[in-house]
Amino acid sequence: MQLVLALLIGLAPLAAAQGKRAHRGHAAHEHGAAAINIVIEGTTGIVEFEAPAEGVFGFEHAARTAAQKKQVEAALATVRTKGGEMVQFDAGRGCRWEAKSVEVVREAGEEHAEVKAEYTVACAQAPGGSRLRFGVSRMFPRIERVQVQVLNGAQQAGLGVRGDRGTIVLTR
Amino acid sequence: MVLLSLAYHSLRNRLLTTALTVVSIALSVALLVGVEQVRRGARESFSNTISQTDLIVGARGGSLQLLLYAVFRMGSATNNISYESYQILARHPAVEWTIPYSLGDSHRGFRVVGTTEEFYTRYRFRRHRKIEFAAGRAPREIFEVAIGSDVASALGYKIGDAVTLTHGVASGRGILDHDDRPFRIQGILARTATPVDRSLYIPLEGMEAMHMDWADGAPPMPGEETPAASIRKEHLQIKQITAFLLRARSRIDTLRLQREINTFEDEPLMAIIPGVALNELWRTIGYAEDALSVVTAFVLVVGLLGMLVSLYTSLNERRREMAILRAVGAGPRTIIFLLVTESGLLALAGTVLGVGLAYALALTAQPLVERHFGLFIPLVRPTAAGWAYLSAVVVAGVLIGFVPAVKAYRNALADGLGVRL
Repeated sequence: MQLVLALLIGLAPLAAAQGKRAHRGHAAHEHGAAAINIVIEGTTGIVEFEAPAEGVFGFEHAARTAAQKKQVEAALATVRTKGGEMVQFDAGRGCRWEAKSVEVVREAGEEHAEVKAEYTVACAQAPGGSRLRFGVSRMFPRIERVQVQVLNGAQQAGLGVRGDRGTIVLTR
Repeated sequence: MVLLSLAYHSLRNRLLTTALTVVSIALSVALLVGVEQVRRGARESFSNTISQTDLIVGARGGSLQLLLYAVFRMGSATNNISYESYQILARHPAVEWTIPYSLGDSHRGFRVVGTTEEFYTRYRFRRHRKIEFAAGRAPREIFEVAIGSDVASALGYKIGDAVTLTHGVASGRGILDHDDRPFRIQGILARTATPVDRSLYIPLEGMEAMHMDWADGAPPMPGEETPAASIRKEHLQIKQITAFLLRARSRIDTLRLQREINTFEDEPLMAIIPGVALNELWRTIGYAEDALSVVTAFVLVVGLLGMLVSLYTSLNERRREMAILRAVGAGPRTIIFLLVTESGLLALAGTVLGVGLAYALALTAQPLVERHFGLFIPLVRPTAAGWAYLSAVVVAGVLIGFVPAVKAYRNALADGLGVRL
């Protein structure tokens, strides 16, 4: 254990640098990355999706031309309707998705813009015991990495998903 | 069946070599299984240290650093957080309870934690277990202290003893002892087999009282300090704490609170979810674990090569045996089958013995390791991957058998029968 501890302490600064990236304070804005938070209580859940606008529709300035406006609308429509493809619950659990809000947030004085979405998920059967899969990069190829946090009853899990690879097993 | 018995008797005939080969494979298999057990034990120990806590809150910085100093008492905080911010968040409607920690002092190498009554009533580890007292009660007054079980056993303390705390985290006698304000031991915590055992717990006010009259990080001049007896809780104003644990009313609130805390206007704060931060820890030390696995795999390869060498060299002694077998009509298949079976049997015996050895060792070492390192090694069945590795060892043993088998077959028939002069 002592050896393990010494190792851990040695690695802590390195890990700390990684940790910083994972958090979404107003300072954190990393292109190519997105964050997804999932809360599950019994048969219902809430899913939050947050990504730099660049990853979702390719630019972060306000849409100027008609083509750009169309691009933004199309991308946001995808976010609104395809939540269940970005975060895939087990098909057998009969989960229905509903987008509560989808918005582009631009902090005053900042050049960056974020796309934020919140969904509610209602399942016929509690998803505990099944596996969560991800399909964000398939939907938005510019997003390469997704930091996922899952709260499912007493379970707390985190996963860095790269290129949609990786799953989270939900405990019962 | 005859061949199996032949293989068995042939191995028995060379008992010493066989035993040594089996032992060398067993040792490498035991290492493989043992490393996996310790790895799982370490993970479980870490995960079991903290339960039912939704968020750990500290000054903004690295999430792992926060996890390590707040939960595992490793490393230290770069910044403290103001007591005012803590109180605002503790009163937040979505918050069920909080446990504040004030860190930074020590006693003979053990960390001192300033906390409140909440720690004794709310803190949970191993899912539902709470803090219990082996003796005494929780500290109530400023200069009272409760000690973890490791502290009690290592330093031989009992209820009523006075302890002097040290400024900073030093082992041995510190440079700046708070010897003007000793603490009296009121409680000894029951063993938890977590880092809780390796700390001393004083009231937040005690932490503040210890540093009363201090200016610019230095103690007051002799004669200028307020006598300990005249310090009252009412006189003390807590200014800062290091971190706090938080339980939200619901898991949905957890996320909202996390966001709120991470974007807290008054002070740069950070909230982490313990389970998520632990996952990050495993990812980080995953590299070290991988390195360990590679080393273990190589030890295993060396063990199997040892078997190959011993089988191969034994062929020289067994020329006559092989020649006789062939003379009585054993075909190439029989010879190959015989040697491959021998090699497979060796690997199988080595694997079985190795697994047994690993479990026997774990069983005997379990209490010792738990006492000395706070690491509980679980006696669990190998995982699916574990079984796969073990089967791979046996399969590798069988495959290796083909090398001496082919060699034995190629040796000329006359080779063993011919009379050498």
